Amino acid sequence: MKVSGLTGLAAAAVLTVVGLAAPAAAQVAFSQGGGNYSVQVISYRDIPFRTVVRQEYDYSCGSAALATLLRYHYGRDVAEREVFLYMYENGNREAIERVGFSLLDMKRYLQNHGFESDGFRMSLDALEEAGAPAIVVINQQGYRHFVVLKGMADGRVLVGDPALGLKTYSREEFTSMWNGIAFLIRDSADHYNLADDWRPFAKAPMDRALPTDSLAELTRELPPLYQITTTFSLDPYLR
Amino acid sequence: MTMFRIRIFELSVCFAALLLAQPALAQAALEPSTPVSSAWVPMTDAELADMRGGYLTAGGVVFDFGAIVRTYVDGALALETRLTWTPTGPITEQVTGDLPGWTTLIPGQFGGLDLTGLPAGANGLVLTDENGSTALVHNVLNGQLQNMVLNAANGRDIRQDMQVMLTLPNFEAMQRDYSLDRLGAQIGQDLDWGSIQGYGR
Repeated sequence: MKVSGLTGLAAAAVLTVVGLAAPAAAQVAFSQGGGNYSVQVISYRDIPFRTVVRQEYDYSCGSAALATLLRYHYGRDVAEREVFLYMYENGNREAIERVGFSLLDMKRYLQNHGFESDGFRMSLDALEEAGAPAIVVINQQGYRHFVVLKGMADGRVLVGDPALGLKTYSREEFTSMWNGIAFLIRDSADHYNLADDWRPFAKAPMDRALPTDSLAELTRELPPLYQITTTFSLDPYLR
Repeated sequence: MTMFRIRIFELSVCFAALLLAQPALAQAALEPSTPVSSAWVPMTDAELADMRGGYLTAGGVVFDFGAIVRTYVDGALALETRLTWTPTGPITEQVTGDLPGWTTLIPGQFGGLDLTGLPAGANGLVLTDENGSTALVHNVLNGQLQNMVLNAANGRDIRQDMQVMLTLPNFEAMQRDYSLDRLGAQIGQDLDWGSIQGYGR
């Protein structure tokens, strides 16, 4: 587990998980002498899913992608289950079980919930110019898989994958997997290309000196076991 | 008095200007902001219905799945059914051994065999001769892999086999990724625990 916000804690700690209301986050309590402390934690498994709804079933990437789009880009409190149930009950069940949801299932769900949406054939440049999140179909080893395009910057594409979480690809990698079809809601999104979504992929600032007041600087001369790293890049592990 | 009239006139002009401006303001308010260019041509509903995605397992594993079901009678292949899972759904292929006397299975009664309650999707062969009746039934759809023999005949040597293949094309890469995930988690845990212990001393 990655513990954040340790500043000021002097604790040989007893860790107790005191709350697991949300699967992606929990609170850990520390007790030392008369002091009690608690910090928010998130597991490494859940870090890539901070802004992505994880798919619950093998063929439910479509419902999870749509829930991701609505929840994290249009501010609607939507779970995969309700999207799944609506699209399954109103769609072609045999085809859904065989090859998954369709963009038409998504369009009908959105229409029923007050959104106008459409699918378009377009280039990646045009999609970047639109500056909006989109559901796209990527081809993985011959299998079509829905993901959410969450942003683009510096020649990379940020994707919310319902099976894998946040992933980034170079434009070339993404273009080789993408079939050129993007599905967009016609209203402008509340959130797109968020800096927080890119943060797990941030490069360590190796060329910059540490500020003297940083926690890392304070512990730099200690043996490695006792050094505190305030930022830990997940980049190599998530690609 | 003249001044008063002029002021009334000015107010009227302002009011009229506001009235004239109102439709333009209302129109601007109704114009939604949209990321979609008017030059883009939307896909038709039929095209959207064809654009399906799925069958990547919830853990992110791509797989190939297939099965071969075979039945041999008196040492010769009587019936073989192949199931192949493709990106567009399952495909089945059935091959018969062209043995003499065997006919395509249809629901009904055959020499002591009741074949009226077979599940949908079941296919096979039936042989009725002087030894009695035998039915070979294969069903590889509807979430099942079935290889059944219904026999009321004497003296037949019947053998069945089923071969199931599950291929993970990117297994090595997946295993490597998982190892890195575990390594990252372990490093993070060690750092955190070391930091906590360090501050306690």
